[in-house]
Amino acid sequence: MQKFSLSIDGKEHDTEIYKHFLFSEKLSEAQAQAAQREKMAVIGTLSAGINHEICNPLGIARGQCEMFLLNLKEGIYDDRPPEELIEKAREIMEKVINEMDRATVITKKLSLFAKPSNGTITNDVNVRNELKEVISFVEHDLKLDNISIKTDIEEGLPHIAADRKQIQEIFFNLIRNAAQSIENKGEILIRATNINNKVNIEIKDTGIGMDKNHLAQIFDSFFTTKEPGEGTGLGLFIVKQIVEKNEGRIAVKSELGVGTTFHLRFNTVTF
Amino acid sequence: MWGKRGESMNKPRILSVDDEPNFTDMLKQYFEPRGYQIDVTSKSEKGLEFLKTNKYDVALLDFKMSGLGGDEIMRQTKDEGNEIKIIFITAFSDSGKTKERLINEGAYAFMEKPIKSLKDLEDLINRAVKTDK
Repeated sequence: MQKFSLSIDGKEHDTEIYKHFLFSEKLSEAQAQAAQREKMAVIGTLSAGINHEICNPLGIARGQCEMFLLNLKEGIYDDRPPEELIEKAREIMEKVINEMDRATVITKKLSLFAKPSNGTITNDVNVRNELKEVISFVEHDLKLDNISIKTDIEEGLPHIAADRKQIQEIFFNLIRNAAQSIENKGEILIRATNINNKVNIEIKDTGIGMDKNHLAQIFDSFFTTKEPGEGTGLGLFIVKQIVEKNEGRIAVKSELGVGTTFHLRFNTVTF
Repeated sequence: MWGKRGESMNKPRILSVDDEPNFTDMLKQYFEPRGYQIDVTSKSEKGLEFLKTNKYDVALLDFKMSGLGGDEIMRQTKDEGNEIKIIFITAFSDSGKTKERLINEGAYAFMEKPIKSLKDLEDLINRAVKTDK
């Protein structure tokens, strides 16, 4: 085979190396695009809850103030004694404060959730609290899709040694994945137990399930059973990487038409 | 009840179905003193029951609710030959696709939350009952 040489930055390369170079560059470009799509998919999942938890309080706070001003302007309060008017103003202000507080809670939670992990493993990660936090982001969305989410968390579960933000990311991805596998209505059951001093977490859905071929590829990068544009094939790949970074284990069982269960296991903190 | 004396009672009769009770309470507080009859519920099934048993001129429906969605309530109501005007008020947004679908299926209007003004909503309701659409 005849070889051609190419000059890149003043250096000579043969065409095979050049082809490899181009392939690697295209691959990393595709990975970057897929990671970006994954990020957008996460934002999409969160946006319904954000809309509900921010737009509703804002609308109610605005409406309460507008109503009071219009009532004054249109003479609706004209024949009321001043003390009754003051009482009405107090009632409205309390409602506005409550709605503002409600919007503040979600924005604070979101900014914490969006903050990138710094990879610090601490000894105080409470699985119950992290699950509760993640569920609070998605439960409104799930409710609208007629998906119920139930938890069964053992009392006195020991803390695990992990990166708190990464644990949240694992739970978020697995719950999102479970929800996406449910077609009409269904259930997600999350169980956490202490078995032989390891924290075991099961995330079980009543979704469409997978056959053996799909199951074997589930943690591969870019593998997805979802329609183009709905899945990037990176969610579970990332989950596996993060679980392993946190010295955990992940396994999955699935039955077509019945559902899927992800099993996680993490080391507990021993003193 | 706060209200204007001598207010005309010939105003549109309204039903609001929204899973946000603070929102429906606010609508009740706004519309009642202005002489409107308004029923509110945060349960979509209850909303459908109200529509079957009472006569309303306008229904203000949330789009996404647990249980029946607003689109399903509209479909069942229209299937029964009810000519009520339906206005969707929702925080759900998907670049206008759902709005277009709901209007094509017979909704009178679609308002995104947070609504800009209660007065605008009142004007919209009054326009809705005057139109044949």
